[in-house]
Amino acid sequence: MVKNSNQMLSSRLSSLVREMLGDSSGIMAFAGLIILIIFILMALFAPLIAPYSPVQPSGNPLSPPSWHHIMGTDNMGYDVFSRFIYGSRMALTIASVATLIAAGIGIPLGLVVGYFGGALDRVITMIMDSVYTFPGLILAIAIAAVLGPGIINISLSIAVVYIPTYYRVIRSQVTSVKNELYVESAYSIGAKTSTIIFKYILPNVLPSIIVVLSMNIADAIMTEAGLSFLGLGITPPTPDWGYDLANGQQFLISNDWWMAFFPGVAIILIVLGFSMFAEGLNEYFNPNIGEKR
Amino acid sequence: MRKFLNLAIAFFVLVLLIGGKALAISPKNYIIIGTTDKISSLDPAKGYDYLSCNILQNIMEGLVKYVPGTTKIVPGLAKSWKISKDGLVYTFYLKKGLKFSNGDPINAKVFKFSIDRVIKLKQDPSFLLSDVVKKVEVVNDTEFKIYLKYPFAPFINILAFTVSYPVDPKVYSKDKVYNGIPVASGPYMVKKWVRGQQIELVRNPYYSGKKAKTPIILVKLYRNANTLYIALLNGEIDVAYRTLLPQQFAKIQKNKHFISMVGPSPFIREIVFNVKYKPFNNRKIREAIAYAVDRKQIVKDVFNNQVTPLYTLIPKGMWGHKPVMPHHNIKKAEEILKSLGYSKSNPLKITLWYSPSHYGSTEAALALTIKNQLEKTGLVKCQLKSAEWATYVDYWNKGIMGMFLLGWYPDYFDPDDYMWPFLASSASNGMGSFYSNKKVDELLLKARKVVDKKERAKIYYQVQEIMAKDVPYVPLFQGKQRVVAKPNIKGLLLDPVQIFRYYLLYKK
Amino acid sequence: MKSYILTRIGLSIPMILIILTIVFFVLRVLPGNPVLAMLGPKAPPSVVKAMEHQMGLDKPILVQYVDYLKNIAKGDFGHSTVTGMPVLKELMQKFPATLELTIFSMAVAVFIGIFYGTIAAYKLGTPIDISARIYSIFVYSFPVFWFGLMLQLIFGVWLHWLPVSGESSPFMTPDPIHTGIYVLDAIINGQWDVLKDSLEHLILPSLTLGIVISSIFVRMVRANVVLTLSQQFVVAARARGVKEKTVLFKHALKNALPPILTIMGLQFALLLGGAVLTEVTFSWPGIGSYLVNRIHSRDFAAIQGTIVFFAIFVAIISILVDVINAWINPRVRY
Repeated sequence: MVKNSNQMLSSRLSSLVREMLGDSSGIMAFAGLIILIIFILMALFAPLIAPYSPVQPSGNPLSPPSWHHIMGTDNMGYDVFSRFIYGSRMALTIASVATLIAAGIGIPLGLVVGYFGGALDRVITMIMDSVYTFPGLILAIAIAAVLGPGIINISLSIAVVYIPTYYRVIRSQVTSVKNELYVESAYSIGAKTSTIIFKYILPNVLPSIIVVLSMNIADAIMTEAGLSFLGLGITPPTPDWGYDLANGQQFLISNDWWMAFFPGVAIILIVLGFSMFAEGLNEYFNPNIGEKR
Repeated sequence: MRKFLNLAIAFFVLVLLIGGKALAISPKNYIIIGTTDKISSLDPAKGYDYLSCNILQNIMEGLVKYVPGTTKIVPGLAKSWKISKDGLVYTFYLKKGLKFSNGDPINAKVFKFSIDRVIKLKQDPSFLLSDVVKKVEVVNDTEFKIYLKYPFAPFINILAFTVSYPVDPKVYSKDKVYNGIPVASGPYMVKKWVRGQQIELVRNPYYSGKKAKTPIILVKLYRNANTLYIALLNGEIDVAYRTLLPQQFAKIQKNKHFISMVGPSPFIREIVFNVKYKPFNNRKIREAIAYAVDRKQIVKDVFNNQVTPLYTLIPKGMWGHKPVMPHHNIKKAEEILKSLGYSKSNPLKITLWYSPSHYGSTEAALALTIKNQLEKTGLVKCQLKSAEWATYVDYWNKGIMGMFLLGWYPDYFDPDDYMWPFLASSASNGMGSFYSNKKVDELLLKARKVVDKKERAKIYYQVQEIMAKDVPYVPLFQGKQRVVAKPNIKGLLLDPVQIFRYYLLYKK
Repeated sequence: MKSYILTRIGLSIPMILIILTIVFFVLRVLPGNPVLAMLGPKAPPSVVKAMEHQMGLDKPILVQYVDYLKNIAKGDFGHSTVTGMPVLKELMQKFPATLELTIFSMAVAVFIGIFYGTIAAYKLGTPIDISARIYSIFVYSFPVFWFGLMLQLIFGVWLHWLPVSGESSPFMTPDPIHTGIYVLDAIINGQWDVLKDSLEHLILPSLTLGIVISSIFVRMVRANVVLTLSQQFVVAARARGVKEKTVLFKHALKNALPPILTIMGLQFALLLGGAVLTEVTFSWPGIGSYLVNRIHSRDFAAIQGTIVFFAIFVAIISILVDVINAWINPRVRY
């Protein structure tokens, strides 16, 4: 029995994949996924891929790309390619931590409030809406300025900004799902509230979470780059694309272009990857009416 | 709707193409100076950072001033002065009919008010006067006396510095710092001040001295060296004085569209140790760090050879200078650390603090380089921490930072200004080192009272030798002044006292 | 209609309050003493205590909070610890610059969004459509400050076509100033050279922010127009033999427009965040630069005041968007 259901699952999955690849949205999602996997692998295997330490001078400062340093060296003599590789760690770490905190607070809150409704719903939704409509970057700037530099602090300031996103999405899904028939039937056969929430509602709202998660990580990376540009990011020499981009900009006009170019490309690519993945999934499962499939 | 849109676009395009450039003010009448420095305060009782003082030096004048390009003291607002034989009483005779930019008179009462006010407000530069001045006595409208606590040879130089500039008692409150448009007594006055952005200076009609060469000066503040550099290249400013990155300056030196000048500067940079803060309370650790620092590498890699290594607090070119600090010797550093029990598995864990923008955009690179140099011993783990200037000042005064980077521009051109604020017990807290040595205090006081330069120099040699043993500071390097300008700007003068005089600039 | 407007205004007040509260308490968490930063480190303890008392910093935090709320209601945003000037006054001086940048950037974004999005929707499936989809997802991932620098390099440093910083050339400000929005004031005064100068300075910053935001507009306009084009009335219009151009712009676009207004409102927050980065990149003297400068000087009153100001600004814009929407489409009102 087990073998059959596994087979069913894998064959369903593979037919889904084949269908998706036949559609432009699906291709976009896959392309995004591939970019992401490359970056995740880069982050995981950084010590094996990077030729030098990103925080030790390994060459003459400001030397252009060459065989020894394929992306050149920065003004401290650090290898830009190694910092490119290790930078993925910082980007993914901060983005993941921030998103996890945001989701970790926003999703349960959305689940509970959406299910129970009432006055609690109105109050919390109002708070969440206020934070949601406020420009995220500005709030992150104010909080980061107060907390100071550091991975935890930056992640926190970004997380605060994204809690409402998860809350809103989950809450709206929950309120619509909770009136569905199967939930009512579960309720009528005496299932506990917590069971209903976690066993029936959560799995149904999960797909939208993945899309939101993906977009949020992209935004978080962008926000972190913005904070570094304003001087509110991590302290050197930790490899960080945002910091390297801001630092490298100073040398751009002296024609030492590689310092700013590669971190900039890294940010664009990873944000692109997450966006394509999220967009592709979203468009595939919720296509625009009127568009040919 | 579309028609309106089309019309609007056409209108704007038309304006862009044919809108003429009829300027109300001829470009010959103004000069634009760009910098990344910030103005903290234009109240002489408070302003103590470079740009604040520089602007004050162009809009106000003191009792005495320097001959431009030299360190020679000549009369300013004072006509003449007498110093008593015991060096304790300075009598000043003011020029007649002096007026502020608002028409109010500048007389002896004004000077008494200003000096008393500085001492009362107890701001950053107050100690320059409060340490030595006992009281000020008005004799008549143009004559007054300053009584000192002890004879202090460089005192006349302090009177040339911004802290001693006169302020209008009718405008400046005697118990509050003044935040408004300054009342001027120098060649220029402030016409418009948009904080954080730019300040517009125009000729002061009531100035008693030589007229400023250019009617209008605009000082534009940029966020960092990059935006300043781009604006310079794009022709949006006429002069960039200091604050360009070394690499940018090196590039522009080769650029035929600009002229660039380099001159000596008495500006120094140093590492400060809070000698009460573990582990820097151990003299040997400070010594080891002094050995591990490689000034030559800093000068070359971070500053593109545009600064010079410095082995004492008094800069080269000033009398009394004696290089006493140990040269880079990594083996000696390792030896000392090992003797203290540190090893690869048990490294010395320390934190180096820096302020990212106050000293220019090279600061992070400087901190990183020093960190790498210390860690090269294999026996040190150095963490970097940064804080913006307001917080930084707060922290060093509270003694929160054990080891941090700092710099110093002289207030007056005398070795005492590089010794007393750093090493005297009464002043070292203000520098964040909390250093206290009775013998040094004695010597420094003696040097203040002695008049003969040679004698004073001998005393300062002694003090520097003690400093090399105690290592409360690691002097790093001495700066140079750099200015870049469009070729039609004349009158650029790189002053040894580092006063950038706007009133000498003019366009050909 | 009136009641709708009043309800919307009423609902915005909690929003502003909430943001204010969050920032107030977060700022109080910071270690270090703002009074010391203001008076200088050598100030004697008695002077510091007196100033703390004068600024109300020695009262319990809840009392400070209530006092702050009372003051905001009166219009007193506190005084900057750096300049001593009222924060609201400083913000009102710099706000027109940000408003000008915001309006022009939004105009760029909407312009590109409507034209590119509509044409892409119309030519669904063709290379133009594909290019639009690539454009929207690609440009979205540009960091605003990086893009701004690229434009500065190309059009300023290399081509010398446009200025790269500031709002105007020296001595080219409108005289007299009416609104603070230089373009408007120059038109009012009939000072065409000033107008030209202001427009020149506006081009690069507006393009930087506008193009990056347009990526979202292109996507949404395209989606909306595709939706509209498939609807019955369009099919009917075509069947009646109405010209394609008319179908597209008169019928389809008009119906796709209201949601676009909503999009503008939603993206406004994103635009403001990008405006802060743009202002810093181009030394544009608005409240974004002000915020960043004052953060570095630890000017709490200014930071707090600016955040509240932003909240009010955002609230006003969303009210405006909702009211306009309700006016166009009475079904929305409640």
